[in-house]
Amino acid sequence: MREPLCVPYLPNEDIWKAARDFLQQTHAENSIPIPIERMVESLKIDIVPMRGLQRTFQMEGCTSRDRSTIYVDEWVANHREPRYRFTLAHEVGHIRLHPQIFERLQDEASTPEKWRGFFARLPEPDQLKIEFQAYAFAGLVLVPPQHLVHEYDRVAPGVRQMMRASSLEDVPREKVLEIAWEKLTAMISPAFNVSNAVIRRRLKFDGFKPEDL
Amino acid sequence: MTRVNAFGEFFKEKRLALGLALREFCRENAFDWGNLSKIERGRMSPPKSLKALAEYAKALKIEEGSEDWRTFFDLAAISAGIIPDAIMSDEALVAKLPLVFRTIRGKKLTDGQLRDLAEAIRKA
Repeated sequence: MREPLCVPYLPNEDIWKAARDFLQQTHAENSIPIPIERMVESLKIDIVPMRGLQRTFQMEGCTSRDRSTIYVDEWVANHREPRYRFTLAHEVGHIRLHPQIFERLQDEASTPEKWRGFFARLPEPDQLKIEFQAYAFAGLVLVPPQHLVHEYDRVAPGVRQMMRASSLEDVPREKVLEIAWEKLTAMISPAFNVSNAVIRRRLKFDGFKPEDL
Repeated sequence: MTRVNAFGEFFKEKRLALGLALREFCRENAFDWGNLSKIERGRMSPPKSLKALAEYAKALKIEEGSEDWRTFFDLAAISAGIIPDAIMSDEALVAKLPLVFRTIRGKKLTDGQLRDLAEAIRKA
């Protein structure tokens, strides 16, 4: 019997190093928004649209065992571009951060039946850890730290001005901060072609706080 | 270049040389992304219609009458005869089965859903 799958803890620095390596390897130009589709294809990975992946299986993407194909939900790709871009980056995160899991799957899933059994044995905490790591990788790839700082500095003065105007109307500071933070993330996200939620998580990850506004 | 998918690989090489991802290329030219993905991967034969092939060649910026133009049509003719448009075998399917974690609702897929997913991938 095989040993249980052990998913290692990855410090943030390791995740950032993997994201940076991927960016340097596939996008030397270092411009934003990050052209994630072309970067994926430059690694000889096929992006394959599937109808109903989200509706039927509640999944927006997944990567083949041989790491040559990323399956994506066709509707999401055509109608929710920021989500689609995040899905691609997330799947690359699995490819770059979790090679040992793909190798185990390669070894242990030699038939469709064994493939199905593999996931039944994967412990829930390991799945959570794996997903968290891929989420962090995707955020760092699509919103690289130096660009985030630049965009924050570009947008923050206007948001501060808005806050000053609001404070004249006796609005509680916490409420002003909450609205200002929403406004700030909404002003930053188009530059990266990601959702506001991704920007909120990235700002938090890099230590930006509403109170600093 | 494998003989079976020579056309698809040539197509992809030309598209990538334009600096376009497949979805972008399809959107710009109003092509069906799913079908073209299958053609590039050798999962579907190229169209038999010369008019449809010429549309693809022009979208790839292949100059009419050039060596590449001839190669494009020759490979299409060869591939059309040898790509079986068949359902993927179990052996080929296993390599393409994905690593699946939790759904977007945070749940594991059931055994039945995994079975259905494998069948959907067989046709993708």
